[in-house]
Amino acid sequence: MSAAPQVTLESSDGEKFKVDKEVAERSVLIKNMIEDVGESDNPIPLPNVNASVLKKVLEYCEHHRGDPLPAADADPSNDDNRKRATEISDWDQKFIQVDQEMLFEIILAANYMDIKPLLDVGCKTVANMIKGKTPEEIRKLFNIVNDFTPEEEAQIKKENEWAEDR
Amino acid sequence: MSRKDNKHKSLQVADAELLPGYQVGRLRVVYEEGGTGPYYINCGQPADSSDQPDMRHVTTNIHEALIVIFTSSPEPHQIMCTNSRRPHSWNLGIQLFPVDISEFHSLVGAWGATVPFSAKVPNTGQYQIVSSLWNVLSDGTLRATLTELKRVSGDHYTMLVPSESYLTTTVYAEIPGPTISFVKDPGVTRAFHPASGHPIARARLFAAFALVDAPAQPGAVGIPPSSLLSVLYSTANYLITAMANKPGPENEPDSGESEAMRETNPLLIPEILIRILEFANPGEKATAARVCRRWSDPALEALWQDLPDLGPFLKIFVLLKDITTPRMSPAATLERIKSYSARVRTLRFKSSNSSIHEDDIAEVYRALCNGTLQQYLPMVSLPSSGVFPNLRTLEWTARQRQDHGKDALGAVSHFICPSLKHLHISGTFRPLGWGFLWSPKVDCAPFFGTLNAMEGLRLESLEFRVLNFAKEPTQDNEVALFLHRHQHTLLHFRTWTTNFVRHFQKDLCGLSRLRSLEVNAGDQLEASAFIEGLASGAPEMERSALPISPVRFEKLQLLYIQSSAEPEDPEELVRYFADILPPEAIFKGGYDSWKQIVDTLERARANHPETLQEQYGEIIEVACPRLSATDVDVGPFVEPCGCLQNSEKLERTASLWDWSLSKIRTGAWAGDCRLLVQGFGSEKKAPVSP
Repeated sequence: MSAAPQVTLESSDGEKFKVDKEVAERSVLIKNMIEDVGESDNPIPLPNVNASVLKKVLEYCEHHRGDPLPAADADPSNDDNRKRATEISDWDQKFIQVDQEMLFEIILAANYMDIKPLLDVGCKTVANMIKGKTPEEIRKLFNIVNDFTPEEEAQIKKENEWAEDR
Repeated sequence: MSRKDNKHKSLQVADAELLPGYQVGRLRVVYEEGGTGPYYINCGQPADSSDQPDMRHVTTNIHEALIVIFTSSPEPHQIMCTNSRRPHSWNLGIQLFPVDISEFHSLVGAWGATVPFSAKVPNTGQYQIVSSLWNVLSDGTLRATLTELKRVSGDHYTMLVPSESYLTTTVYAEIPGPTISFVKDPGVTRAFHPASGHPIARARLFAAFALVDAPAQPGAVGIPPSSLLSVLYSTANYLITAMANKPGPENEPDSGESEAMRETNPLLIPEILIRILEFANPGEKATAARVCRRWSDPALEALWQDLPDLGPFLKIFVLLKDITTPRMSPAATLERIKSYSARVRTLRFKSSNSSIHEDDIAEVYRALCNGTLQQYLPMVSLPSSGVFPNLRTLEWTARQRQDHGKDALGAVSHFICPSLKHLHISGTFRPLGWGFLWSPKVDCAPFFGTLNAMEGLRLESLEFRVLNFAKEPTQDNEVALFLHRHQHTLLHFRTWTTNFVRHFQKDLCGLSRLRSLEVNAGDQLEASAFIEGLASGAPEMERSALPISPVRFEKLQLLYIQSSAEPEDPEELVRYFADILPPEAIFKGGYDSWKQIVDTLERARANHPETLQEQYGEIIEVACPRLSATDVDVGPFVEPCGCLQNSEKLERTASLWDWSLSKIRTGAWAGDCRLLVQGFGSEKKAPVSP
């Protein structure tokens, strides 16, 4: 009996990860690359992802290896379904309990590697962090400098007041 | 005229078409259409590095090898494809060429004119140029020239540029300013590269590649057998993704990693921020818009793209008129308004719970309806139509006590624009000055006239339920013209306006591409008559002269008919399902339609018990696969099933109806199932979960 086909991924800092092809292909980027190149022993380089993040991402892919893949050509109307499902599953919740730096790295990696469900877990987590906060609290949380003049900020507030009780 | 210009001509590329090379961009082959061609783009470093072109932009890194980079240059961009070869396969390589066009006149050997094949193909032909050069033309297209391989003598091949040129078929996306643009089709939503955040332009290129057998002996130069010469150059389509990159003095492609590419804070990448805010509620989006400048635009984009009311937009006018708001120049004021209006993709307007009834906003709304906005806010001149220029979906529900200007549907007309795809309009529309107890019938001809006058409008779905619609003779032309114009684009049509259904049934027949048709035929037209009308909707003359095609809607997936008229013969209705609709279409009757069938069957059971089983059997066989049942419908329908007295038939009913028996027994159908089971007497007791 032959083992499941495997591929090797190489992180930006040169660490190599041998994983089942099925796991690696949770990433649309890698899936497409494998389709383009065909099976190969050469490691697939991921120059934007370092080893610690890649390890984490692969942990996610391993856990979700059996999930149905999202449709390649997502119908825009399906976006509604995605938006509605704002809750995060227990496992994902635990998985994403990381410090802010790692959270950001995971989002960037999921975006780069095109792993939509993981990207959404990251985005939902950030969305939850924003909930109920004032602009100033958000700036503090994410270390963002306010470059608005008070007048500009007041005008945007007035123009969008309608949204506040929705 | 310089020597180079003449060279351009020799490539049959008109000077005027050549794009002065001011941009920097990247081309990446991401997709190959059809057949077995090169699987992967690979660039190899020829061992003989003398007489080399600029190799800085070549990579052997598999991941980067797909990328071709344009450099800033006053000359047309020249890119050449090379082949790096492995046994039995040829990988297409793309190589950047120096900008001197003379290099390309004869595309031969490696990088020069008429170089013998073998001389420039070291390592037994590992890197062999077979392909073409590309030009970026002034309109943004990429032009590729196919090369030809000619056997000179022995091992030596010469490739010449043939006269034939190949143009790209599609190129998308505009990136204004000092960035690259390969843009032709503004209708395509621009994507952004996941890593860099740069806009992605897509181009479909033709590239030539060679299919050559492996060398007979190791070390020999790969010479294609003569039998292969005819297929030597096939054409492959490549979808090329061009990623715009900002030009700059240091814009060496190697350092092409832009700021965004190195961006380590995902919250400052607009695409990701928008994705995050999709999980936020409107209030949170509004808060996010105030965090900082880089957040403001993505947040407002997320907030305004689906606008639940017209009031917020009109409120902007009120605020800009307000003396306490800092004064802005007329141009800035207009810009401000346009920045909001351009974001709206969907407007869901319900007049009953809109803030347009607040006094200050009501004034703007009246000005809008009457076309006098400019008097309200003098510096603002909005177009008379297409207030939201990027609107795709418009849902407009008029309720009681709502005035709509002189022309009852005129307010809606202001929002019709070429980008509109989905128009859902419902309610009672009444001209100014009418009380709310009684509405005059509304003439929809001007409204359909507006739709017809809108150049480029191609609606995909139309819902029309104007309750006080009256058919006026003047409407015939405009409505019929509208339906005629949209017969190839309209995919979904729904109307609850019974007058409309009756009068334009004939015109509905022309909507050949409909996926769904939902009508309320009212009490004057029963369902089978409606379907029959569709079937025979061809003009009289045609009907007598030509056979009527039984299937009028070949793409129809859903037909919903609400009718409270008594059917003359339910069997006929059932037969029409089979005759008129394509096999995969679902008929979804309203409650009345179901009731008709059931009532008729009940009467039949009372009058002619002996024929009932036959009738019922037919309905189940013919209709069930196409019927879509709802909670309301299923009870009355399954009850008479008892008369079948046959568990096989029951299972068949269930399977045809796409229910599993277990689902019926344990699921939401349990109550109805009890009826079903009762019908079987004690023959087969299905366990019904509590």
